[in-house]
Amino acid sequence: MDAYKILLKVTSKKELNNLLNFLLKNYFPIDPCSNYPQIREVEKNLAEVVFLASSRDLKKLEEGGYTYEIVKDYSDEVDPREYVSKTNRFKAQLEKLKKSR
Amino acid sequence: MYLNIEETLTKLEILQTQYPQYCEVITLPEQTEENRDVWALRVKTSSEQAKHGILIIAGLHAREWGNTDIVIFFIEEILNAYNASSDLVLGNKTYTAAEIQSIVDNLDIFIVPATNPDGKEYSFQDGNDEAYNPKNMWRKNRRVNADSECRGVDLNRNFDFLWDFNSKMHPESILGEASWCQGVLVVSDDPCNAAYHGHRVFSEPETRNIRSLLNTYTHIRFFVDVHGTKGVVLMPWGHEEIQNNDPYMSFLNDAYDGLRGLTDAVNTSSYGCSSEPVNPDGSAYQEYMHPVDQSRFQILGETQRQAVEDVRGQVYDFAPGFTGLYGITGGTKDYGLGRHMADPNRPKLDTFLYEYGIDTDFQPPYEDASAPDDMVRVIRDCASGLIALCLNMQRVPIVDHSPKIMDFGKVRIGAAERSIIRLFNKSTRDIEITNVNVISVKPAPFTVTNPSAIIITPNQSADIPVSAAPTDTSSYKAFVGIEFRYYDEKTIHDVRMIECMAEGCEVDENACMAPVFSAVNIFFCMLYLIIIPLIIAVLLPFIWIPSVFCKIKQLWFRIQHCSSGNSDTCTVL
Repeated sequence: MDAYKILLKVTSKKELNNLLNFLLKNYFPIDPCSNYPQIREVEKNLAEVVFLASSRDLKKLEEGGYTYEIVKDYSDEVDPREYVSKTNRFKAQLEKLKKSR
Repeated sequence: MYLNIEETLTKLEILQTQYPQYCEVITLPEQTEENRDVWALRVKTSSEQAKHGILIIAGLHAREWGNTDIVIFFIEEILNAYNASSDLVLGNKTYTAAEIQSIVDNLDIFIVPATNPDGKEYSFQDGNDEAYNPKNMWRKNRRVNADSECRGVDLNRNFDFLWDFNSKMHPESILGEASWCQGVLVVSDDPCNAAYHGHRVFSEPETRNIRSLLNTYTHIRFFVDVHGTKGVVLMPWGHEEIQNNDPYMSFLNDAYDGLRGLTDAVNTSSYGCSSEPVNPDGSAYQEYMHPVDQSRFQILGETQRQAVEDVRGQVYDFAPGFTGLYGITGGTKDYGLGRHMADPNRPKLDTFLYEYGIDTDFQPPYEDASAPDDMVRVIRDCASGLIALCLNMQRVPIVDHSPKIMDFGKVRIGAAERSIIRLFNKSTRDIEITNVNVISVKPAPFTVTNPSAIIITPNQSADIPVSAAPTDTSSYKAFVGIEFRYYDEKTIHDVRMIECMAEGCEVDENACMAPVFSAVNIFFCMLYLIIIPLIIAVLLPFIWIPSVFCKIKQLWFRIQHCSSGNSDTCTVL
């Protein structure tokens, strides 16, 4: 899967806002639901922002002048779409039930 | 594996086929943009007793795959246990057969497991969307937005609750306009934004389908919307902090437009929120909630939170949306609670929102023994919370009341107009009225006296006298609050708030006043039309006497208004 968990460091509230606005304006799949991206305050005036990005997103960040650290490379991870049923597992059960009624 | 859309319908059809005596699949009235049907499953035993309805919806946000599986599991487990008269065991939590029976027998349950099938189907596809994000991160529906290359509306921003955030909310309360902080509003009018609220309120068939269910089944008393993934059960309000003092400081009051949505909470946990609120509005605006409602929400919410924890120790939070997550407008839980406030003829709804998982991914592995938060475990956690709600909502009395609004009209200064509010007990248990009072921050000329009965037995009612006695010519508004509970239920109370209106008027003591009388039917009107002119004919020779002249005018007024009646004590003839 073309996805990376990346970490960016910010040192002020203004810097954080600028980053979040950049992500919003560039349609990163961030979602303030679930505190996403995760924002971890490491110490006073230092926070880490962690979120998922594709290789295209990484390029956008670089073009925007942001430096990031790749925390996890998902290229070998299972794509979550693998967890979704591709067939109708219950069709036969329904037909059998209908016949028996 | 996660259920796909076709399987979701098949699951509902299986339940309907297995349990035809109490399961019914309902196709909701509107198809989606991509011509898909949306279905509900209704579970109701045939008993004629009045029942609370509960509506549980899932899948508003496409990528939160697990919520469909949660509600399907919830209803399957309940029905299977009910049918087998067996206990329902979820990890360390056991619901007894009697508890399960009470849920199915005493409630009318509606589930909509895939509210946004277009979005969900899209999120299952490979590849990237128009913004080059992976499709499995798609959140909205698949609306083709006019004049935009971006598709989709965030359905949980499209409901009728402060939908027009640009005029209703403080401009600095919107994310991107202010600091990052809990309580900042996440909503947008940019079709490319993941939180796009649509081109108008209820623009989307998916949200209209939910509205249609609530409008059709007016006994639905509880409304739950399942999302992910914050590990929290939320109650209203989602757009502001709660206050219990002024019922007119509310989303309905245009005087507060442009002031709402700024957080006052001191929050040190999120970076960017200092120990002081970033943009407080203080007492300038907070949203009203009656303390009895807030207390009931807290009891029911805590019960659900505990039930989740009981399964395997997952500690979810419970909080109002605004302080527990972030701010929104146009969302389900606020729309649900706000419906009866905006229109008192609509029934009251208690609303909750689940965020499944504790900071898990939107799509955790479905079943993975090595993953502590695989979806199978999360499903059991949340199903337990929903079952606890179904058990405990039975502690809320089933009532109705009339009138829904009490308008005394013009009332002569010095006089007192009287009326009654009738509270009906529609349940099968005794109800106790615990308090009646006038709710107003300003002096109001309304008084409420003790009801005719404190205890209301099933299918009986109690009358609560209310009077209006204005002392000047102002227009007055206030609420009468009637608090009640089941007689054998000491903790959970409910309240009905009835808005009262009156306007004082001054009239000359010697003026000829229009009579106050009730409307009569067409038969009596015809009778009046025959009898009253005869009386007037008798009185006519004495018309030069002022009191007789007045009497003639009053009789004529009675003919003119016989079908509508007159409650106005200030009309001078």
